[in-house]
Amino acid sequence: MRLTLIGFLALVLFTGSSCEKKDDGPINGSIELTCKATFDGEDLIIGKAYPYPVNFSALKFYLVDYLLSNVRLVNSQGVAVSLNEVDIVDFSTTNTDAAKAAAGITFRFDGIPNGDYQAFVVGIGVDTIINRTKPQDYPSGHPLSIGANRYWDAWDSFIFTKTQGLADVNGNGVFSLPFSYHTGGDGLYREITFQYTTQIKGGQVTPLRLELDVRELLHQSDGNFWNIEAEPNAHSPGEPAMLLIMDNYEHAFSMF
Amino acid sequence: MRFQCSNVWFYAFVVALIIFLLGSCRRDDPTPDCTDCDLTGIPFSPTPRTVQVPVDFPKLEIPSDNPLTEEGIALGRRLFYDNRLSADSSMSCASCHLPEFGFTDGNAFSLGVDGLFGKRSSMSLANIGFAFHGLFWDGRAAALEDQALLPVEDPLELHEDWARVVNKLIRSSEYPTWFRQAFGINDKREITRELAVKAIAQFERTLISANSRYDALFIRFEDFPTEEEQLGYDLFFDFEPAVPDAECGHCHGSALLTTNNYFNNAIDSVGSLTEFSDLGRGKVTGNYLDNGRFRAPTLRNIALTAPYMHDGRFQTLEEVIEHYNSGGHVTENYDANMHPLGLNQKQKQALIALLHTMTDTSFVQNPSFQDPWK
Ligand code: HEC
Ligand code: HEC
Repeated sequence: MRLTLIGFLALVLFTGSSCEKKDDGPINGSIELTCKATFDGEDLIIGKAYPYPVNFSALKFYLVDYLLSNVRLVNSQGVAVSLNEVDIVDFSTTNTDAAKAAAGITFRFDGIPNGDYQAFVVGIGVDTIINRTKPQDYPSGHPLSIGANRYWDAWDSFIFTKTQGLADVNGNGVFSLPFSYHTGGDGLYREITFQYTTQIKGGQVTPLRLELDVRELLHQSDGNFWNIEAEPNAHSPGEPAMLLIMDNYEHAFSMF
Repeated sequence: MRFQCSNVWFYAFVVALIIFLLGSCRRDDPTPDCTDCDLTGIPFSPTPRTVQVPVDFPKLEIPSDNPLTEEGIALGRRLFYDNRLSADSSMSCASCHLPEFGFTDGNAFSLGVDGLFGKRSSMSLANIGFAFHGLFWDGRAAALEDQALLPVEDPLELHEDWARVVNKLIRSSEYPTWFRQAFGINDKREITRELAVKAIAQFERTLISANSRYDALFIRFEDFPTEEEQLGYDLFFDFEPAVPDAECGHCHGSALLTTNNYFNNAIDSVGSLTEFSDLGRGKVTGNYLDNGRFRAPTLRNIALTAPYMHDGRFQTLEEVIEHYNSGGHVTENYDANMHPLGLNQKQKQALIALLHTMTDTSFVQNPSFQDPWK
């Protein structure tokens, strides 16, 4: 009886080890995505004053965040590997000092099949399928749950991005005008494709950086910047500031 | 080698000494030796309770080691209303959380057993099982099981020692049976504070309020709002572009009428963020931008829970609306959803009418939530 058992165990162990010997290392690799926020190229620090090119004004940001969804890598055959469903990139609690702002927020995506990839795609906001769900459908702690405070009933939509702070509108050092731009609504979901060639190797972690220049979110196509004093809030779908911000995400991002 | 060996003996000696000292400490605070400690003669077959989660509510997240049972809930309810939890047997949890005041106490600052006033106003316990973002005005307790440990020993609240409470429970004629039925303990001396707070937490998770006029009007669409109520709703959630956005829904949204987040709703005028007399959330996180932020409470039963805010500074809902309409005081971390609203008298009244729809009479009068000792 005992001998049979030992024999059986030996067999199991042998089969296991022989299996392992056959392949040449892990078949999946990982990506470590670091998201950063900057203002005109400088690391964005919550509560720090930044000059804004309208009427000598200056801005302090207290809440800058966006939903990052449907992140995927696309290989040379055009086949996409999905990396996440939805995550929240929230700089308001991380970018509280220079060191933390420089470090950024890191997400790790594992289980990516080895191979050559040609594009990296990110969604800003959530697509219409996810946008039909409700916060109460998600467990606490999820980026779309009630506690995440990102649903706006009046739009039937999650809030895709938030850009909030205080403005000094005439350069006198008094930051007394609150501004708040929330975006959302099905039509405003944006997918951005970065041409990016990389090789994922089994067991290796490929670093990737996605930097958002918050000043660029407010940059208009006529070269001017959004007049915060004139329009300090955007909370209803279709407001021009919302469209501006969502359309600007693409060029406000840089990827390395 | 030898040296290590003697080390082992030394550590063993230290450990033995500690155990001895701990043991002798215990003796000062004797667990009653009872002749009838064995409870195994009493059947233990708890009845699971499944909670019907109301429409549009999130899932009720219950810790896996504290499932709801009829026996646990009944025990928790008795403890919640039991004055033996306080030093002079004069107060219970319910002294500051009365059903008729939406489980608050109607005072700006709650009075503890020693006649000392606490530093904050009592909080509603309606739908407390869904408060997944920290408990108290500042979120310093994570779960109901942790929270219930605190009021008993708080000198400004029940000011009693848990060890003494446990002894009172062990000695009582009924509690050992109830603890046996709820948790299957085999011996009276197995009653602990941890089991007591688990039972209280079970009772608290049943305190679900979803039957107000608001629910009927705006969640279940069973009735039609008056024109005034509809206007209030449009203002609150910005449903109607033609009326101003009163911004309330940003912080008091969802069917819970709160997202349980922390904000500075601009009630204090301070020169810098270090000057708040109560730092609120900032004291818990250590982040100065959290100073002066408090948890936005649920507005369910708000007409019953005056006075308002963490320090009870506003006596009436009219005063609350005046505050929001003024935009409050700008400070560095004040929420951008706070700004002068420019509401006229009719719009202010409409918001108040809406707040009145949030009263859930069937909740405050629910027989299962009342004092079981009466
Ligand atoms: C002396 C009055 C008093 C007594 C007695 C008291 N509480 Fe409270 N309770 C308060 C006050 C005041 C707060 C808010 C305190 C704070 O934020 O610091 C509170 C907060 C709470 C909260 C948090 C609610 C929320 O929304 O976060 C819960 C839960 C609670 N109490 C349960 C209990 C239980 C259970 C007991 C009995 C063991 C009890 N309380 C006894 C006054 C009291
Ligand atoms: C920026 C977020 C925010 C907005 C917007 C907001 N509130 Fe509040 N509300 C809070 C916070 C935070 C508290 C608790 C503050 C404290 O106690 O210091 C609160 C407290 C209250 C209270 C008192 C609750 C109690 O139990 O004492 C009422 C009533 C209230 N709000 C109603 C409203 C109404 C009506 C509106 C819209 C006009 C509104 N709130 C807008 C965050 C907000």
